[in-house]
Amino acid sequence: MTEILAESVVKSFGRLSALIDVDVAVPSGALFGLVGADGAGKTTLMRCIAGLYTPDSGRVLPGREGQDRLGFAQQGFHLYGDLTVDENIEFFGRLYGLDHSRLAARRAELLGFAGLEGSGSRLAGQLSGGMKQKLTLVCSLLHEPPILLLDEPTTGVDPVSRREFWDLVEHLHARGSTILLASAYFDEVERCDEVVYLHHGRVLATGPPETLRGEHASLEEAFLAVTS
Amino acid sequence: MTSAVTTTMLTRRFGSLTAVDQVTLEVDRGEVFGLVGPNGAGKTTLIRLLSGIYTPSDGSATVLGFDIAVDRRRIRQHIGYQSQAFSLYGELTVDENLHFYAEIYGGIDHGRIDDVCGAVGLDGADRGQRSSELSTGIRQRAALAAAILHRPQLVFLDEPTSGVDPAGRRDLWAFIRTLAREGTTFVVSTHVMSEAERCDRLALMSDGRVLDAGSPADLRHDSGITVVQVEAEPWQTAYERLKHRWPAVTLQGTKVRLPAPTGSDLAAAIVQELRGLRVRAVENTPPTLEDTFIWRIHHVTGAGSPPR
Repeated sequence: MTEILAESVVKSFGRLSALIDVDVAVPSGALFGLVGADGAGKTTLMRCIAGLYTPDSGRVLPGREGQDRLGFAQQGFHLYGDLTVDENIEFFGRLYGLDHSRLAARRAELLGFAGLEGSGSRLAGQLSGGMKQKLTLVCSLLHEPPILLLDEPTTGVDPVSRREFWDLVEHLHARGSTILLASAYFDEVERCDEVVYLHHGRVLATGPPETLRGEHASLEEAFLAVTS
Repeated sequence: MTSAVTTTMLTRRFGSLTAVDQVTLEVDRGEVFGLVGPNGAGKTTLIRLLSGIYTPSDGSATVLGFDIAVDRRRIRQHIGYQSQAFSLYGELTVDENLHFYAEIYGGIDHGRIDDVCGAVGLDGADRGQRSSELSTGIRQRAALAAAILHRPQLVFLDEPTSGVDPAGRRDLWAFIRTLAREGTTFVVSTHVMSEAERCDRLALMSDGRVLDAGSPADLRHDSGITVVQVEAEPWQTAYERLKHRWPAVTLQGTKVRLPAPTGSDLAAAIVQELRGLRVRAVENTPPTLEDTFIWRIHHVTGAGSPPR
């Protein structure tokens, strides 16, 4: 079953064609990587899929109707820097309609999962880049969504923190989450089941990393060969 | 000919924090030398020591033959430094910034500015834009142009390609390689392993210390680890079980990867752990640079252990 879908999606902003006939279909339980340069349309595609943007034409899943099944960790820092870790979790938990006891249970479980135990009373704005990304992920997981959109979750994160973040992604993947992860790093999407090349708003290729790599030394060189 | 950089037990403390701790290393002329490590490893402090911005607390170093403790001004004349904290004036256009730098250095004509802009890929439109309004990729090119304007023999690049797209990264590295062939030495700090792979040699840093130095191939080869790759069904269960027993386990698609010391025969233990599952393959594969690095960090310092 396809859990994440973009079918012939077109999205323009004024004269800028951000997405042109984009097709992506992520089956249930799969981890797909979305890779492309800045401005390729990765964030626009994710926002369409999440129902935050309405495509000019085409169809998406889960979209606005399916938002309760979706966790979306947006690019950049979307938490409240002058609230503590606990307060951010409480805020997002209430948005998702979690009651007090459910929220307390999820908070403890997810802080443990993310290795953030003991950081509950720290201000979110004062966390390291890697910890902020983990907290963003925690906040997007509070309502136990089966579908996850992760928009460049490791940009600017150091190698050790990145490894820790990927441990979390792999755990979620192994437990059956359906995940679409956008990244600017080719060595990162190489860990996914399938990779989608997005370039100037179009999907250039989709397939398992080894297929896309073909005869090239790396996924990045294969991408450069297709785009230039 | 002397080395571009030689350090001996170089140390820098800030209060009770030792940011750079007894670092001894040598960078040859014309070499592209990478510094890799997590945040707080000391990469930026080391670059600032070598570029004459900080003075050492202990130990010594020479840069282009000059002693960093006494010849800081002369060092600064011969090096270029592209910092993370962006070095251009946001209110000025790229062109105005470059002319400003040309004035400071002295003896740089307008033709040189044109040449450098052409070499790093800045066109007329880029040059007329205010620096604060540039995209990250173009800003990085402009900062590089400013850093090499005065034909420095040694250039420090602090995370030069963060925020730069794949084609921009390729162009930037091609340019670094061209200058290196002509004899310019580069010291590059990076978070990105695929970038570290492009360096001639690397130093892996953690907690202010150099854990290992060598070419990427040597670091992988001498790491003393191999990666056991397991294909089993269902892979989810295989991953959960192996991860529980060996926290260093990672995933590559649906293949489970387990870094282990070379020569340790884990096949039997793995198969035992996966009893009841269908095990399709257990094979040894060479480690990636990232495998090597994460392994070293966890086994030398015990820092940043992955969550269970």
